[in-house]
Amino acid sequence: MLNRLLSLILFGLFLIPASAANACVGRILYLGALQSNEGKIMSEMLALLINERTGTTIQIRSFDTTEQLYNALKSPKEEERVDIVVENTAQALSIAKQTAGASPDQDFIAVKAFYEKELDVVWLNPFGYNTNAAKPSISAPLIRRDVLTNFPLLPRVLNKLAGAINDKAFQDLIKSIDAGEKPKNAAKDFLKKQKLI
Amino acid sequence: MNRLFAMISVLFLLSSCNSSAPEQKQTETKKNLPTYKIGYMVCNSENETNGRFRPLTAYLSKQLNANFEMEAIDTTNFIQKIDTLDFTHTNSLLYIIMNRFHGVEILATEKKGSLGSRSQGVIIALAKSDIKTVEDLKGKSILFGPTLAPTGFMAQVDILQKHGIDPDNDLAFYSVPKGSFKHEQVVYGVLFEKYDAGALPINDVEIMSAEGKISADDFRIVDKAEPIPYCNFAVTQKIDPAFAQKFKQTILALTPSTTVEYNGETVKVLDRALVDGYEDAKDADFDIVREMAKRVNMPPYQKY
Repeated sequence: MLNRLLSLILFGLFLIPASAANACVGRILYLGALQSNEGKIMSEMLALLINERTGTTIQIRSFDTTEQLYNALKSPKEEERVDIVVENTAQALSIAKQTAGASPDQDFIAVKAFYEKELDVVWLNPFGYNTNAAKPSISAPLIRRDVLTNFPLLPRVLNKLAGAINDKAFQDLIKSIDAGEKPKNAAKDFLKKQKLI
Repeated sequence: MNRLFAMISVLFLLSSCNSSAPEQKQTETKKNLPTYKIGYMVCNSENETNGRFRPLTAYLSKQLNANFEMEAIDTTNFIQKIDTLDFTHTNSLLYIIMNRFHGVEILATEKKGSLGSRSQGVIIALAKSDIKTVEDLKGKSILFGPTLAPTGFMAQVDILQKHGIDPDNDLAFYSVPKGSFKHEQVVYGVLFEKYDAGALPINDVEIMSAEGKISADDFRIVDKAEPIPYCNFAVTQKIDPAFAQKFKQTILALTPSTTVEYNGETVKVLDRALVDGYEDAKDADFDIVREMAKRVNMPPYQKY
């Protein structure tokens, strides 16, 4: 009886440090990514860049489907939310239920406006590569607007990747992942070569 | 059995890492008195902030016949916690953000250091370096303080822009340190020549020099920003204005000899808070911060 009581107390005490741990560290930003090679490499690249340049702790959360990713992007809950994602205009047009315009740049303007108004999410400047050679699509980092107020340096730092990854550089990164290199290492090498970290 | 009790004891000790929450519910809590929560922005570390302001919070409880609780909150968490707070103690940038988005109103500014109720951002370099003017910073690296520190980041970006230097295109590199005590890390980043220059409040240079951590002679102040209001107390909209005025008068009446009984000892309130005193303030005093935030594209006026 006494042992059972003590076990219960012990279990309860294990829960206290769990919540205390959150209070002991500053805010963590969560980066959401799909389980694709693009998702893996770009999430690692953004996480490294943000951590090295702003001192902010970043955790990557991986998702199997776009629906799961967007649910996390809308969630206010610490345990499931994401603050930053990488998205392309083709997928974004699908989310916005809009048809493609005359050019990727027009698509970018259209989805940027839709996301700000409907999702309270801000598109930063595109990386520079196209994700789909048959139907060109621009990729860029997206951030929740409430995060930008608390982390005003993020747009400045993430925009350092604007136009920094052309099609060849992107394909080289993807090939290196296909060849077995860890996404984090490939991302780190790229950022160092670009003198961004 | 003894081992189990020992484990429980260890877990109790570990849980005290969360230094604010359990100790807020001290035995001082008086029944039937209203409870108010003050959010204190973490300057250097959570422990330091708790150590500085617990006696002051206890003093307010005694003087205003109420239960005042405190929570040390990281700058990046502060705004999202505003709905849980009654009073705030933050820097001037957080104040203008909370004023614009949440209607928080100023009560008093803090006096500390050679500039009194003002704070001033400076850019430092090593005295032996060839960086003598702001223009010399082109192509150099700078270590900034926290981005929500008005005199650790915003003021220095303002300096650079006024001298025609775009931090994003004209500097070789810039970043912000990880972890706590970021202002001190900036100084050491320059001292040990990892960065060409550093951005921090002038108060921190004075304090580190007075504490013997650095020799001021090793550094050159490349430029100073215009002084702006320092840390301050403000009140949220949920508080009765009459009570807010009582709070304000109590803060303004603090003198270096004001003491409070805290944890069995007599503590000088201002001394422990590392503050020289408090001064009446008006919202218009912060217009200078607002104009700087607009120039530097900072919240609450940030555009993307």
